[in-house]
Amino acid sequence: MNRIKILIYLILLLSVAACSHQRAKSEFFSDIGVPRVWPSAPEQPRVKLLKVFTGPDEFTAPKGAMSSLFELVTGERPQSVGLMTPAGIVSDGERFIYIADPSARLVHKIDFVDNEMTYITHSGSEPLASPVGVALDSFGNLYVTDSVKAKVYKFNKDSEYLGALGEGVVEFQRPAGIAIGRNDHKYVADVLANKINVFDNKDRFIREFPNSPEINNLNKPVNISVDLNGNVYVTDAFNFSIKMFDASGNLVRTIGTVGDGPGTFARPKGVALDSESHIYIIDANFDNFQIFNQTGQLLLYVGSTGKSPGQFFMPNGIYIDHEDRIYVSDSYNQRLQIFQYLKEKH
Amino acid sequence: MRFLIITAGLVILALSGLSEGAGRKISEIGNKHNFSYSNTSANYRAIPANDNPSYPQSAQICIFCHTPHHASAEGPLWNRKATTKTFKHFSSSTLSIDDPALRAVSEYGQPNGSSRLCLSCHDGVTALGAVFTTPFSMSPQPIHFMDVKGGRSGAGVAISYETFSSHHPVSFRYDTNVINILKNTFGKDYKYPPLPYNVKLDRLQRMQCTTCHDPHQDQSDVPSQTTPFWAAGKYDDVCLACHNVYPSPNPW
Repeated sequence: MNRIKILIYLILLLSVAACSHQRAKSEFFSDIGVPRVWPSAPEQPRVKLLKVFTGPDEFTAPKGAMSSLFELVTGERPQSVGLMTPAGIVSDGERFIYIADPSARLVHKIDFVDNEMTYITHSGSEPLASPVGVALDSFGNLYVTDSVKAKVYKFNKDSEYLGALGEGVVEFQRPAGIAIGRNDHKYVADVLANKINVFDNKDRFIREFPNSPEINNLNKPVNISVDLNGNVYVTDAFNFSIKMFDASGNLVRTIGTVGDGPGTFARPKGVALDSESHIYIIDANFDNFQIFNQTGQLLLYVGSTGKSPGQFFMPNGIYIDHEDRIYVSDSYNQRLQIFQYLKEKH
Repeated sequence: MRFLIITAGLVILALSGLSEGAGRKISEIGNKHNFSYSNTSANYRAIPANDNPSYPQSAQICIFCHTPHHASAEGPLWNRKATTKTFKHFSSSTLSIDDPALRAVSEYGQPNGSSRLCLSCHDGVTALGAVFTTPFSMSPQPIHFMDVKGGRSGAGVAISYETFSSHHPVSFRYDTNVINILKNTFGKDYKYPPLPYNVKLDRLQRMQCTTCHDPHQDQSDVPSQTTPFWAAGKYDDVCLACHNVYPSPNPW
């Protein structure tokens, strides 16, 4: 009986994958009715809204293969969970988007090829308590930070639990932001320890920074991103700024200060970089993200308070994939919004 | 001169009398919301300004929640015509919270008013301890996933996973209309909190985090981790200000 189940599952999966891969992917990113761009005409558009994703209900028709199979085998209808307070976010740009949701105490896994949502709720036999950050390595392994359990969990591409990062070596206090560089080095921001822990491509702890904490103090580093050259960008929440460190952990630049106008921060959250190394920073109080160049000059801000497409209500996480699609977890609108960075040559 | 000193002394005495039984004031060492550098007992505090001139002043205790006015000198390079001088935000009761356009976007279901200040730090990352979820329910809601990922169960196995919301709703209007609807439609007995009282609504008669919590000073007789920065001396005093039921095994 089990073999038959597996066989049915495989057939369904393969047939779906074969016929709809490219189509489904392009459909997912291009169904917004009203085109919105920033800045508005006559300025040259730099950012375009692609998609507002509100949750599993968008996938109810047509039903995905996994869901049909589940009903076929068990006779029960599977239930789904909406986005409650989506926080950290990551995507491989090809098939999966992962969203950490500390209120729902799980990680949403969106499969935008098979139009399916599944959920990562446990690390082994232990339920997750407060998943807040997610990152993917080059093999598609997922790393999840849990701010209450004070652990960083690793799952494979099929969401099977593999173990905890730095177990027995690093005693995390409150891991939150996590980023993985091109060389598969992992950077974990520890909010309470006020430092960044670095692990190599084999998950071995290699070092921590800032190198001179007495001078380059971090005060509640909540989020983190790494560029193609290994420079690290840290949201330094209680200093109301973004700190840029080079690959060796030396402070290069500080961007922003406390304030309520363009170029300043009130509640800086997620940080991300596009393919041209522009720096994107979410502010949960301003309901926007601001874009800076490498020298720290403000280029643009996108978003305002509200529920309409392109507006935000206390946004939190941001991630930019290799095709310059910008994913923002719009926490208290309980949705995901996806934008496109428009390069000059677009 | 002597008169002034005596008067000042009396005022201080009166003020200290008011806060008897309550926790430390926001300006005092030991208050967890005092983020100044000198609050050495706190986990969360500023870095001394003399370490780096770009850091917030170590003695500024308000800026962490109440963002001061400040903007960079230049506008955004990609949008030179941008006229925004300040972003609309919610750091003070004197801001545009009365604006009808703002009300249109701040109905129940999303935190608004001063609750945004609380929840933008209490987000499970910068600070723990606050959950805002809808719909509100006191009991866990079991959810049957078709597959629990990350666990030991194999693919396709249905197992029950419980999710719940355990926090009182905030950011909703609580006026006589609402109370009457609760009474007449739902048969529930609520009352308007007595005035003046620690348990208070905001200027738009909305319940907020600050209805039950005093973020500047814990008012509880006995400090409790489960009811931090409590707005009244006794736990029940806060609940019973609106919930008109007592005593009862399951009042709400």
